[in-house]
Amino acid sequence: MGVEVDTKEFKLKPMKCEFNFLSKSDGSAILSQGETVTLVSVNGPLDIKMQSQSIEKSTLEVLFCTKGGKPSVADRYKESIIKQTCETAILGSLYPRSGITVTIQELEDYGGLLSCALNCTCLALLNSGLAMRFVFAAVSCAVDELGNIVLEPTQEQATSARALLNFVFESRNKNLLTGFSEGSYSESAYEEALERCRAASDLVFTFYRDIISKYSNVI
Amino acid sequence: MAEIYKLIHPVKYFNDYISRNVRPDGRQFHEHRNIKLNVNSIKASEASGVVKCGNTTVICGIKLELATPKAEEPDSGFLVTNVELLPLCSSKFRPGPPSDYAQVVSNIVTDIVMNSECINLKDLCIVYDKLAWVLYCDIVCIDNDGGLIDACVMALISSLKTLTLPNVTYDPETEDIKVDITKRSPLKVNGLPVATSFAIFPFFEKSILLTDPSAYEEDMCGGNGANLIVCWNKGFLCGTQKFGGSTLSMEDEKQALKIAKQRTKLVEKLIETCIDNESK
Amino acid sequence: MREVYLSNCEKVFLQKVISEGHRLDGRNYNESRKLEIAFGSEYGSCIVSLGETKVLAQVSCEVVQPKQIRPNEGILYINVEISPMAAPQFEANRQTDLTVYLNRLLEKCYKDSKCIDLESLCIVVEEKVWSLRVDIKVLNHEGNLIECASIATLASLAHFKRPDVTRSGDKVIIHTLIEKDPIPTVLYHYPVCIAFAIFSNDILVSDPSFIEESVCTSSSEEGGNKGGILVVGMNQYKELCLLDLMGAAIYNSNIVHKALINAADRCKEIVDLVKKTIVDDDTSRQKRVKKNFSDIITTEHMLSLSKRDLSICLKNYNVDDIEMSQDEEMEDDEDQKPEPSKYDVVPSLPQTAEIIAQKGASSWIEISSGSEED
Repeated sequence: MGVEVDTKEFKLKPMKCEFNFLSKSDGSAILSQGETVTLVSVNGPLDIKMQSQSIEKSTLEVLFCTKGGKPSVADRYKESIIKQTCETAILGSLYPRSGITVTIQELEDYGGLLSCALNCTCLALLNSGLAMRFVFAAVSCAVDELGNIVLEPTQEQATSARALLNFVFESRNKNLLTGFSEGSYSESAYEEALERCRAASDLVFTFYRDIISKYSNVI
Repeated sequence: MAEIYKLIHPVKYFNDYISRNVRPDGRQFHEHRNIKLNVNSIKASEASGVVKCGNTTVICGIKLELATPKAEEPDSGFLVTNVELLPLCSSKFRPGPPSDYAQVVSNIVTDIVMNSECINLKDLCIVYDKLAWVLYCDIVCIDNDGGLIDACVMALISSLKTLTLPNVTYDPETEDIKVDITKRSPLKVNGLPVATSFAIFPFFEKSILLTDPSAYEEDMCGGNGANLIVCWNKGFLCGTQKFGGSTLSMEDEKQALKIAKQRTKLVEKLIETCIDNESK
Repeated sequence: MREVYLSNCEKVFLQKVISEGHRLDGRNYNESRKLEIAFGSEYGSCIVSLGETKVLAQVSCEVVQPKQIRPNEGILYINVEISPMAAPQFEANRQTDLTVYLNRLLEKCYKDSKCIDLESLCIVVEEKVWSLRVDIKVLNHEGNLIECASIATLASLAHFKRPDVTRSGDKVIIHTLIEKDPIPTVLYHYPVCIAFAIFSNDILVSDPSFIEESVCTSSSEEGGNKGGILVVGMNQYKELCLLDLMGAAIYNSNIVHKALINAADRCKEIVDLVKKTIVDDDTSRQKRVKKNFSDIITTEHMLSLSKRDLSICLKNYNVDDIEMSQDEEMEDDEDQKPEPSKYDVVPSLPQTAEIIAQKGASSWIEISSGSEED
């Protein structure tokens, strides 16, 4: 780490996004963060089977599709993370007895797939017009061998890192909404990573705001 | 009367407790339940552990098998962990293939063990590219009353700690394998990862952290299972998972880490005491 | 979600429009929608879009044991998946008639037509062969899935390159893409499935859209079905490898002839395009231009945004800071040492230990009586 200047510039990967990529879905977005690309479609509120209806809130279904190969336990885990994040963010009580389906398709994975999928999901939800409590932004970071923190690591950085930490923040108080990690790390590294990601999430929120204002100005 | 009240106003019932700084089962917010640990009681498996965390009961059994290592990693053995949530442990589970939740729990438990690097898979290799141990760790939940991951990890680690591997001799010429079950050496386990679950309850403007939640508390806080799982191992974090439920503020997060650290020390002591007691 | 059925007036209108020589989107009978093929960064992954219909194909390979009846042949496996992403009426992880239908047609077109040299996929006879797996994911269903899926299958198979292997004695070494240049798959010919919608038994419409497909296969108002979907599988040499009719029986054989003639031209066009895009892709790869699916995101669109320089100034943590804070925490721990004594660790029964909360550690408050008063 060493003693350096007080502030340092950190870069996130370039983001590129397009709404309404799919014509049949109620909301869809394709997002690339660096070389990682995901496509998300949101359908809802829909009519669903009686047995899966809930009288209190909408039933959320999340499906994560990998590019090739058979479905695995790791996909279920990713689905569970995205589902629980969306469940908190969507105001489900406004759509009782109905279903919301979120489908995520992986297109390219060069590190940070899950955080890209989460950001893309948020954009697709915004596009679909479902009522939400807040928007959310996912930022990933890696702790390398020396204990340095790298925001949005590239694939090489991620494989050589000691730990990978992912955080999802909500837009209102920048509180932690979802977090998950790989590898082991010290408490101070965790705290530092959390604070940096929290600050960096601002950039993602600005990106959301810019893309929405770009087209909503026209309408 | 209280039962009816709970049925009619489930949220208010819970809120009433929380506003009086106590939880429905009489615990303080940061108090965890009593834990009972028993090792090596199942003689059919190579090593076993039974954990009772409050009402949550989990059994872990380890089975050994020999296999050829993967071509990509010829110097490592295998550690296969699987968590089974039978219909008997909670009314939420149905018989049939593993539910999504069971798969998620399996994945988290495997991740914690792998991330903590407490087992070096290279220790499980007997002969390079020819022979290695496979540890099948089956974790079965008997009663699910919250804090499932904590109990699973504890059962798994205490069983791994007591596991002994038989001596194997391999003849490279005849490819003959001889297993001597009388001579055994213990498996090297570095450190002791301990997970601590929290539920986060949104109470008016602030959120309240509940340590070691029961299944009822987990339901009230939303999300599937515990909201926050902190895992410590040898003074390092080896997994912080936060899913669903209310959002987590900075102070709460710091507090959670601290509570988890204290509980980890306690559980470490518990496992050590238990194993000492067993070997006596 | 249940399927949304078309109303009678929609059906009648569309049939009338078609019989008058027009189509809803303004195309001619014989005109297809715009075909685009985009390749991903990996070999054998592509997104094919036919108008708004979009299909993702990915070829992957692994070394497996060959089938006993064909010990010297590799294996080709095609898997079609339609997720709720394609259209809301599809359910997750459930096979529908449409999936089975697409899977079967693609297998007929690519497996049974023997367009792939399976023998070249053999590594060691009776022991190790390559198994190619083509995963087709439907992203958007706007009609004519079969044509789009078959182009995607063809393009991904033709684009795919498998890692090189060398045999030394018993051992088989699989080289990574960096070590040795990968080997392309050998295709004897390039078959493509072309779909036509038949209206009132004599009108042939190529590349039907979703609504045209559903109208021509459903029965008309007077009862009796007079339309159907004809799928023709043909390669670039105008050789027929598949013919499939769904819907009503055709009593006019001229229509099949007409379809075959149209299909032959269309096939040539498609195969030429596939070959050209692959050559283009190859040359750009040789120039080390990075290809990625992010290229399909258009930037000029009103609904899109691209940001290159996302940078933020953050406070750089000092080593001293961290050590300080660690020290503090250490002290904290010292202070709080006595606290955990709320619990006792006791060895009880043999092989057992317990953590028990000490008596008086928690105070039970009878709250139910209190709330009754409320």
